[in-house]
Amino acid sequence: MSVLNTITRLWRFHGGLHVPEHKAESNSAAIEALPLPAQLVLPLQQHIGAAARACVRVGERVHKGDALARADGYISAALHAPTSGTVVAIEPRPVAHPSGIPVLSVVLESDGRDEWGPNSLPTPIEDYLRLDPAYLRERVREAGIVGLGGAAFPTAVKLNAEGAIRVLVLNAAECEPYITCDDRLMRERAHAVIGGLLLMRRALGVKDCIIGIEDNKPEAAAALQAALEQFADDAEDVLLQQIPTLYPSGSEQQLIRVLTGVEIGRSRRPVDSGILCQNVATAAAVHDAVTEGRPLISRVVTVTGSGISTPRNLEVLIGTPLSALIEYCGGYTPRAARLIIGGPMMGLALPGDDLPITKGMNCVLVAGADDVSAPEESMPCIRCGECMNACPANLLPQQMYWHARAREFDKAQQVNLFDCIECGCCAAVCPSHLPLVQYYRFAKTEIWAAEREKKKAEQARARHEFHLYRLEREEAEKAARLQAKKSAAQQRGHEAETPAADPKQAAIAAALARAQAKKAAAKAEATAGESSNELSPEQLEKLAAARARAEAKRLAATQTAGEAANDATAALSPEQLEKLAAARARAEAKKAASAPAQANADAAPALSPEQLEKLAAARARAEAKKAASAPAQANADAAPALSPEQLEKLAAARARAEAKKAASAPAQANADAAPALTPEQLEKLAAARARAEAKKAASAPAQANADAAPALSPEQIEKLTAARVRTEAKKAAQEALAAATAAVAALDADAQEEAPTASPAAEATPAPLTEEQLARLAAARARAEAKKAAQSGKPASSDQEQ
Amino acid sequence: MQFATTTSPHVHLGNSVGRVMRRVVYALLPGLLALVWIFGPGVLVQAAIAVSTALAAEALMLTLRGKPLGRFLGDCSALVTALLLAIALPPLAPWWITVLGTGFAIIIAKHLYGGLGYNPFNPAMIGYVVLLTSFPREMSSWAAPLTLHGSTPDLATTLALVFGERSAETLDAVTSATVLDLLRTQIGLGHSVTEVRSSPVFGLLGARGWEWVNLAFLAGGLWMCRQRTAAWQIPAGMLGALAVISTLFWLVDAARFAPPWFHLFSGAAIFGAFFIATDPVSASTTPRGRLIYGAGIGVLTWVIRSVGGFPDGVAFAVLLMNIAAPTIDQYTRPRVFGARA
Repeated sequence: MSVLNTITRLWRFHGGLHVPEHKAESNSAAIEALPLPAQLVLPLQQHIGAAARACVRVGERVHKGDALARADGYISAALHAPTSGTVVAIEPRPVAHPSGIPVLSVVLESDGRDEWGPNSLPTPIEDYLRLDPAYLRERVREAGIVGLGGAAFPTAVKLNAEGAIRVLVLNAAECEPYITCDDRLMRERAHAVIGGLLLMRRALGVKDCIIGIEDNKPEAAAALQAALEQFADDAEDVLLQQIPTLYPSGSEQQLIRVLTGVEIGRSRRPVDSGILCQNVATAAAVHDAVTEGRPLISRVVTVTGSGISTPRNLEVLIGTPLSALIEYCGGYTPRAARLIIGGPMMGLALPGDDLPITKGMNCVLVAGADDVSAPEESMPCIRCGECMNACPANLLPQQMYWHARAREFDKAQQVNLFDCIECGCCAAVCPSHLPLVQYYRFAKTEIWAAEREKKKAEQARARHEFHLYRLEREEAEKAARLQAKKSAAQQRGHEAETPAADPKQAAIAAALARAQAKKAAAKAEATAGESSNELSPEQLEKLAAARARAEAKRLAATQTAGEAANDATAALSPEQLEKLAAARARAEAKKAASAPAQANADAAPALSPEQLEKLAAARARAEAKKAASAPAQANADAAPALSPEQLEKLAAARARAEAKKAASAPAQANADAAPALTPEQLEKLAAARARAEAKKAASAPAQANADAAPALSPEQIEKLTAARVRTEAKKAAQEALAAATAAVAALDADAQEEAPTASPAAEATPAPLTEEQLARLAAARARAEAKKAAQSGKPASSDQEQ
Repeated sequence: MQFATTTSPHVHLGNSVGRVMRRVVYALLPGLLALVWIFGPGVLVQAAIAVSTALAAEALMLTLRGKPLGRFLGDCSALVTALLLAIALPPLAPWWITVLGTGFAIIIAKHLYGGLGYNPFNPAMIGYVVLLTSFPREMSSWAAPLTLHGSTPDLATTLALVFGERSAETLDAVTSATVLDLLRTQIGLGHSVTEVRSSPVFGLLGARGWEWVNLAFLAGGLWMCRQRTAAWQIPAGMLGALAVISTLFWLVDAARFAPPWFHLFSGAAIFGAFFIATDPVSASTTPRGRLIYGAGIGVLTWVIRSVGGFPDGVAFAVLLMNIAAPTIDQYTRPRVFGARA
């Protein structure tokens, strides 16, 4: 069933205003072509998105319709020569923009002949309604068509939403006062408007179209109706809907609401609701581009207001100076007080008329002093709520005002500042004459600026901190080396005399080890912090891998220090031991954090197979070192003598550790995606598989990644992720094993050495380690899965991206 | 040619603070005329005193605060405050009462809080409450209505009473207790509502004579809502809540509690609902918030009238809800366009 059948009524949006229309000044003036100006200025950026890239050189002769600049990027639009002539300059020129910043422009001197080039005009197409949609979109893109309602968003991009659209809305509302260019266009070229609509419908693969036109344009509506009848069957499922005249019903959001009842807020684009909105002038331009091969080189502009002698609707070449339009309309009247591009509600006031017409300009309003509000002294807000009653977005403008005024931008955002469409209704009704919209723009730009500043400051801070860390670390490393040498020498000297070394020495060694561990961790952090701001993903991943290697080395270093301490252990106090253990735990935690980065490094598409292999090898080496060192370390912890109770506790701890290990195995099995097995089966399976995989895992995933690197399909990514999870699991298992071994070794050591003092650290050591490893395993898996989800999600969503 | 570059919107529909305030004054006229007709020219005398005091106080404060006199005096906000207070005061109150109340309202309740737009409380009601609590005797002797005595005091008598010596005899001849006063004392003495209502001061709906005044205020208030000068939600919420709660209690015990139409058409219920509670500066600003704010005033008015220590409760109810207005606004934000419900 057609969606149109479900549209049985019109909807309302909140607020809105009846602004004096002032359409009569110009709506009876037929569209006239403006005489060819001597010089045209064509800014490369006159649309939303990336600026076009000039493809002509200064001095080059161009024909009418030749491309002057090509679209640079997906969201961009081409630019064509509006007439034949010579490019005399490509330089920054002022444009009609609030910033006043000049924009790179092509300056074209007309030769007065206005001739089309032999190649500039593609062959006209007669039976255009049967064209291939892809070809249609291509032709629209080549023609450089942008939304002519004012926003100037590249039309081809919008037409790429093929398949996602249910309803195409043609915006014929023209709700701003004074403007009549769309009205005239519909009256005079209704056939082109409807033709363009049908073309866009075909490009989008949509059936249902609604034309929304305000009921103050009955002639235009009648012309459209007649054109629809001409198209007969081709124009089936096109609904012409007159809507009440109420500003701002021509705003995309409000028009869609009125016609369909659907509300499209800030968080959703119309496309996401299956609705696409196009302006009537855009439709006519699409028609011309397809049926005549005519790129967008001119548009209809209304010149009106009591400040102009003869209000008119003009067909104007893009790039024509405003002054030429003013001159053609008889010049300014003595009343002229403000020059506005666009309408009086949202238009931009210009200081002078020496600027060029761009694609998005629909009206030049020269307002008399009494047509526009003088910049009046404002009164305090009396909270009357008139602004709220008028707001079409149902906001609380006075609260936004209070917060913006007090510079409480976070609160302004809480009252939905960014939902404001700056339509101007609130300010137009404010009894206190507050420049409300100006306050909102101010707040928005302040918030944007603050966000940019914050980013910059974070980068600077990270750099500075890294610098400090590096200095500290270098000094500490020096000291550590010195100390290690000293204590080793001392150790040798004391060996024969007594097993109990100087307790002070041991304490220092332990402290050094801790310091080193901290610094290394800090360094890793700082490296990550600094690099993440400016580096490409590939570089980041390499860095992460490097960091992982550094960690492994550091661990080995800690180990050396630890061993030094170990020699002196007999004399270590329980507190010192505890601290040592804690330091180690912290280091482990850090390592765990860096591990996924290492895993990610496997998937890095920019790494060559050789690099990958090296990486894997490095990792294997690091792990081997780690595993080797772990038992010794545990020995060091457990070394001081334990009481019988503690021994018992240790035994229990060992039992727990083993249980934990067993528990971690099924997790590994899960990673392999065996969902239907019982826990016992899982355990057995896991043990077997862990052994097998320990051998192959290190090299296999890297290899697979290297092969699959350039273009991964979702399935491949899934497999890869699974492989990565397996690697992770294997590593964790190894660590668990190492820890358990350590615990055993510790017990053995204890059994041999009976000592009077109790050490709580010894008891704490085995269990936390295994638990930590378990946590690490779980975390690694979670991360891997998140990664997988992100990767498999990406290709799907990027299709929808415009 | 060089043009001014102001930001959009470039048009203004011509509303102004002065226009809003003048509309309130127009809406007060029917009620004011009814007051003159029923109670004599006293209210006009009070209005003249209040307005002159208010303008003088406003000018003084504006000068002290360094604000442009012309622009701020022209906004008519002081005029509105003065008129509202003058209507709320007994028509034959001594002149210094009015001067004191108005001065307090403008200087302290308005300007010391930051002037127009910044006062958290309704200035007229602050002035009224200060007088009510400080001078209860002067504030409770109302002019007797025309229908009771057959005539109203003429201008000379009024002026003599307001500005001259006030002997107890002359005062008694032209004043009477208000119905709300009578009702609460008599019920306090153990009489039933029906017994009390047989007193000649009672009319068909509320107090004799007051019914007409209230109907006139109702007409002016409805016009103001239609003009969107006042938010309709506030009077609707207030009168609705007052009607509901008084009906409930009247149904439970008609001997102790007055009927709803009595509550609606006595005292300051209608005047307060349309002219006092709707002061935008101190009221709630969201649509739902205004309903809640109005309803709160309605309920508090009934509570103060029925079980409180003062005969009428509108002024206190409004001030209490003024305190709650920012909180109400916080929790009654409307759903933004496009946001999910």
